[in-house]
Amino acid sequence: MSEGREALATPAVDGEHAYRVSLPVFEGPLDLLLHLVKEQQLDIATVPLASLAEQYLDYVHRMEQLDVEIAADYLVIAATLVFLKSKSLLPPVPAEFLDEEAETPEQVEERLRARLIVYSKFRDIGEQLRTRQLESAAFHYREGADPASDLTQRYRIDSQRLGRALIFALRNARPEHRTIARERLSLLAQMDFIMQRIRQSGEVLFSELCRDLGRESIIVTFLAILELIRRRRVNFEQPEAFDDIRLFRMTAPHAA
Amino acid sequence: MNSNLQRTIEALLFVANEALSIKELAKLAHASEIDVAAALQQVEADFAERGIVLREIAGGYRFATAPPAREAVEAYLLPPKTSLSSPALETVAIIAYSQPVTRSEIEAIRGVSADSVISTLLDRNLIVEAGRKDVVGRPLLYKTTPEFLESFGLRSLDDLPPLELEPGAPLELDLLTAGIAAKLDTALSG
Repeated sequence: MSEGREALATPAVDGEHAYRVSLPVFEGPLDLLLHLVKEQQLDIATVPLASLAEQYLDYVHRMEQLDVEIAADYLVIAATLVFLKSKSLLPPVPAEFLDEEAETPEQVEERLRARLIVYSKFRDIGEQLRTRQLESAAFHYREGADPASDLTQRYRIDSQRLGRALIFALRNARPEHRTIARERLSLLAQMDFIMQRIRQSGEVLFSELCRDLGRESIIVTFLAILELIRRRRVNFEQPEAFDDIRLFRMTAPHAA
Repeated sequence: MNSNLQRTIEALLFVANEALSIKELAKLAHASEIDVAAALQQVEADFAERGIVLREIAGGYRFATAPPAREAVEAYLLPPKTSLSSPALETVAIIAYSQPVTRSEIEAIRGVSADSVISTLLDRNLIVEAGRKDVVGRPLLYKTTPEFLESFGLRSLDDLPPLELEPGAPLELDLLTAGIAAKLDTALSG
């Protein structure tokens, strides 16, 4: 089997039963069938396809021996060939037993032949396209139409360069430790805290409450004060705008 | 000869990263198509012996590097894409002649699954999806791209080698797809 095909092969086994089987690889059942026709220099238009059944089955059988998974496509064609072969060996079915709907073996054969011919045409054209592509490859165009390949062409990026760049970047990266603490201060907790401070010392300044607090907690504290005032839990005093806010007990005597 | 027109056309062809048709060139250069065609002939003649040549391709014109400079050009560019496998060539041929065409129609002609081949061709930008066929299951249709024409040095789809089917043996895709399997079943069980 020629045509410079790839071949499936079993590994050579050492010892008494050393053997080596190799099989050319076909691109599907039609490719195989076409190969069988060409191998025997037969005319695709006239060869009785049933005559190829044996060799076709032989190939399928050898694929089995090599544990190659045989696609259903191969088996469908195998079944067709066996059908044609059997019909060619048996006397014709008497007309009264014929199903009018069913195709005659001749029709089945011609249909398969038509497929084979169409397939062979496209195979030939594929080969002609190969030649054209090889010729055309001598010309290069300025930039491709594909933006992605454009970029890789322009900056001559390849996977090795990318890999090296990444390793370089990682090696030079300074380890970074950053702790981001989230201030968690609830409005209710801060209200309790403020009331506790007032109960302890009678009064408290907003500035004292905010000491060492972050922006978010200051906001919560201010909201807590507003809420306490609204609920009439505390009294407050702010002499002027932007002055410190003094908070004191509702019942406490006015100390100002 | 309007040499200013020729200059304009050369400049447009230089910046374009696609083939420009005579129609497009005429519009861009504010010139008649006849003048553009004549100017293109002049460009082609002027560049015939240069490192850059004019190619009529994919429905238009495009500057390309001259084949004698190929080796140096390819040393500069990334390695050229590997050529297509036989199944891929067969499949792109089927699509080119039968487009728009569905996967199962392709498979009916080739007799094997076309999944991986179709994705290769899509990856290579040689084919694109072209809507869905209005039949049960609404399968995707595929057609070839301008890149297909460029990659194979074709001016248009008419430039494809003739598909010589015998008279009376038309390419009946529907018959191939729907017909074969069903009728084979009937024949085999009958």
